[in-house]
Amino acid sequence: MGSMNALKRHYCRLFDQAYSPDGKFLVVADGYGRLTTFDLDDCLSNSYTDTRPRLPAFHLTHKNHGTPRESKLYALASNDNHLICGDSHGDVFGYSWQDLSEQGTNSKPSFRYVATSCVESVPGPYEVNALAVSDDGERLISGGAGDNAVKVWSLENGRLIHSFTGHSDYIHDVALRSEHEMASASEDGTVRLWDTRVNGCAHTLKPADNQDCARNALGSWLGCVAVDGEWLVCGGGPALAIWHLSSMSMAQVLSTGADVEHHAVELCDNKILAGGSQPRLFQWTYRGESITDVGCSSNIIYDIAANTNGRNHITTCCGSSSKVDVFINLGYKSFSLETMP
Amino acid sequence: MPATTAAPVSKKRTSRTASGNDQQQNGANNGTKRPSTGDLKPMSLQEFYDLEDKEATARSQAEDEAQFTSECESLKKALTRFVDNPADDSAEELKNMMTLHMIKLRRLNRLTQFRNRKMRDRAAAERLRVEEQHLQLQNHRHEIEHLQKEVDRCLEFKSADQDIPLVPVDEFYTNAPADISKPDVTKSDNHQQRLARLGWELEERKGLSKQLQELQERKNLLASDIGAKEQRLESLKPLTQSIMEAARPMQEAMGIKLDGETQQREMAPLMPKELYVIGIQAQAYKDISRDEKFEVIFGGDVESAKKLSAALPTGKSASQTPEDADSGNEDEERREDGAEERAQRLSSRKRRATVSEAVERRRELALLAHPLHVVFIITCSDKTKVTLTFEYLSELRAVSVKCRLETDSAELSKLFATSGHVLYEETLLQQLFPGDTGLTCPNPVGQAKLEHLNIEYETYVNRIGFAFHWAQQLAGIKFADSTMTRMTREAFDRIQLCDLLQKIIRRVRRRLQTRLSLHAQITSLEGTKINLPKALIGHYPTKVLSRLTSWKALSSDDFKAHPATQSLQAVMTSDAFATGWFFSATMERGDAKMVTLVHVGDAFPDIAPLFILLLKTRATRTAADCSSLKTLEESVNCTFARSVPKAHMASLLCAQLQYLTSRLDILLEAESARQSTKDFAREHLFSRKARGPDRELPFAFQESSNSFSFS
Repeated sequence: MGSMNALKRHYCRLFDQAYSPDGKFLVVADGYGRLTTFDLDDCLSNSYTDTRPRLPAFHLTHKNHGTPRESKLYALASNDNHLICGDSHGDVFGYSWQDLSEQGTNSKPSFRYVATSCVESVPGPYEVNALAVSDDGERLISGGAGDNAVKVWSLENGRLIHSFTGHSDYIHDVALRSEHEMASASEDGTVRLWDTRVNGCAHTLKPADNQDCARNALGSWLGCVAVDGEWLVCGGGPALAIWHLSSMSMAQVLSTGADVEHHAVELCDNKILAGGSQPRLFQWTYRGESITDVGCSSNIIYDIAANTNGRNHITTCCGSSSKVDVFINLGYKSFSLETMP
Repeated sequence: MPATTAAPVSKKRTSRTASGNDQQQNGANNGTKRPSTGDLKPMSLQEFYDLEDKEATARSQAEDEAQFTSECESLKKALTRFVDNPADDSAEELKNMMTLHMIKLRRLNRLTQFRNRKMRDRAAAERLRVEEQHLQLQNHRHEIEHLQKEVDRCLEFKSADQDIPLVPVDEFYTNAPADISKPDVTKSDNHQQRLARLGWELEERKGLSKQLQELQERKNLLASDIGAKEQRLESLKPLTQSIMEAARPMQEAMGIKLDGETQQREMAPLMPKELYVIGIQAQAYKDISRDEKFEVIFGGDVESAKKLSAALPTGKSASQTPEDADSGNEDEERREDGAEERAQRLSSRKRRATVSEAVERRRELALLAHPLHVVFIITCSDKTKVTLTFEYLSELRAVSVKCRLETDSAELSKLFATSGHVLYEETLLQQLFPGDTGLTCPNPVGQAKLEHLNIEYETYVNRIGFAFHWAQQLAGIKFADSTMTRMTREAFDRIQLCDLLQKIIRRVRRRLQTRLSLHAQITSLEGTKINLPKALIGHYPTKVLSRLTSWKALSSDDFKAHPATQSLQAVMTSDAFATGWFFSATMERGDAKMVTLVHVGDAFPDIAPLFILLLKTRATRTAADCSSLKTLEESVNCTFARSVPKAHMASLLCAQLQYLTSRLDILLEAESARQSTKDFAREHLFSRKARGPDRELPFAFQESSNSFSFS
């Protein structure tokens, strides 16, 4: 059924990306429950032309321990040993990088946590939407639906260390600020800053209450958050804006199109990269000056990731298409990787 | 000039004296006054002119020139003298003298003028004469050239005799009688030899043509003889028939059932083995399965099949003859061509004239089917029968299938013949196996032949039938390198040959059933009613507020040109969209309106109908720019069919539409809940308005709790 394949490619959504610790592999998670792996050394070699497409190294369909249900893969994170995935049924599971590079498509998960808790009033399934790994690579932060909690796990023994509840709707994104502090953006319209030292919520931001950010027609939900020192960037229904954490005040609105919803933001090299419901990748300085905006293959961008490991220093973004756009230089799209050839 | 120079000197002198007087006279004549001169008798003007003319002709140029110089000299002298000593002469005298001189000069001038004109006239006359002669010369030259050409043409003349291939000289002398060859004359004289050879040729040819005529007559005689005999045999046929008829009651009485089998036994050796294989399998199937609703018949024109097989040399298959005969002719022609260059040129011209006819004839031959065929009659329900006629295309070496639908219902029979309708006979067998359209010749050799003759199988499909791959499989034809797609090949690889016929019959029955169901569904949808089987109703919420408000057929071009389909272009290029039926459905709830473009393929319901959504609320959205619509479109197109129980797949179209109307409710209610507007009141249960990074809407219906959540 050739047309079915074409249809699946047409409706494909890529939700998250992760790089291997050596920077050699890019893994992309999609709505069909597949992990698509690209060998970057190969993809970046000069042997490719427009007519010779860059093919994935392998696909891995997550079987979820034998249960036949289909889940979507929403979140990815990576540390030195593991690739960690979160799916639409609340499972977090890890593949060892060694297995992935040696066994490819036959790799089996080496651990699995049930990362969301059941709540009486809301029927399941509860998904995991965001994963992050601490700088030392020993703790995993997850955010999702159900109890809408931000959870901190020890990757060493799989124990749940903290579970911060407070959001009234599911969590879209989490970001680490320091060893003790993390931020979470939620569908309920708030960004909460959590501190393990006080074991609870330190601050709450509500961009929809700020006149400059609010866009009532699009709702108050927050789709993405990123933190760097004193600065926090978040957006979603409300406009993307830079917030100053010490004063808890809005510093600068980052203007995109009037009705662009924001799904992805990334801070790297003192620059802000963001994308949303527009096929463009935006780039600003911390002062809010626009640097570039570059066209992309996806109409909606769900994730932007920069590879700082190894020698393949690239930025990639993915979203509502089967293609991953690769930027070697952020001025233009270098090429695209097709996850469903 | 010679005439003037020859004038005598004496005459010159006398004329000079006379000229002196004349000059005076002349000057007076030309002047305004007319002084009377007493000593000379007056002249008439005509006389004067004649004199003057005569004098002018008499004088020479040199004389005039000398006189002119002397006159000028004396004039100069007189003037010099006057200038040096103005007192010497009286002015009056000088004046007279001057006048005299001037008159003389003037006369000289006049004479010269006259002479000049004379000379010019003469020169003109001369030239005229020369030109006349020149023209004459030219004429002569042309005449010469013309004659030369005539001579050349005569020299180059070639008679028709040169084109006649003659018997070689040696042969001529040995064969021809002496009275024709006349060796004594012709050996030395080439011309005579040629004449003699031509004469011999004529004799020879006359003889041969006479022989030909004789033979032809004999042939005609024999043919009429054969015709008469055939007629007699023919007249015997009714007799034998009547004997058979008469014998039948006795045979029946004796319990011998021969009829069908004898017919079959008679046909079997004449039948192409491919059709025979199909027939044998079908009979075996009928015997084993005891399928009363399946019949197999051997049919066709036995006589022409007999003729065909008789015309064949044994051991050669039917497919080879026409082509071989053709190429044989060509070879002969070619051999003749070798004889002489001129002859070749002639014959090639002749051949070119018949080339287009030959191509046409070869096309016809290529598409020719064997006169015998096998017919399956598959009864599907009490009212409908599917008749499959298998024919063997000898030249393409492939089996073709013609399909006919028969029914007792008048309404249906009309639909069966309606082109473009879901019950149209032509489309009934399409994609019985994935990708099997029967529109190309499955045999690569046959396909190459068609390409060579510039024929597309597709355009003749109505005449010669579809060359489905399953028909080839059933006939046991295996192609080393088939034109089958990978998909089709995989489908056949999974089927054992012994199961194939059963599968085909089952699929044909199922196909007709689904088509009848599709027809019923479309008819109900045209009345904007979504008819669902009872078993499926439970899969949808009891309360659906969105309504189907219109359902109409679209043309394929309208469908493909619709703005909503633009983002799906990559999918639309697939072959599946070349055929099938296109519709546009509209669903409404309140102010919201969802326009849905629907494509139902030939392979319905194995390939689910495709829906393309366009939602008009405040703004117009398609799946390309709205994530929720994209999710809905994806689930109706890709995953929904899996949730329908196999027994009810025939109702897939209505099920999909019911799915869309019920989910449109959720989409509108969830969106208005997200935006906290009251456009669409929340009439359904759903606890979450969004999930995941893409804020997916809860489209999964939970029957147990009558609520919506996520899958």
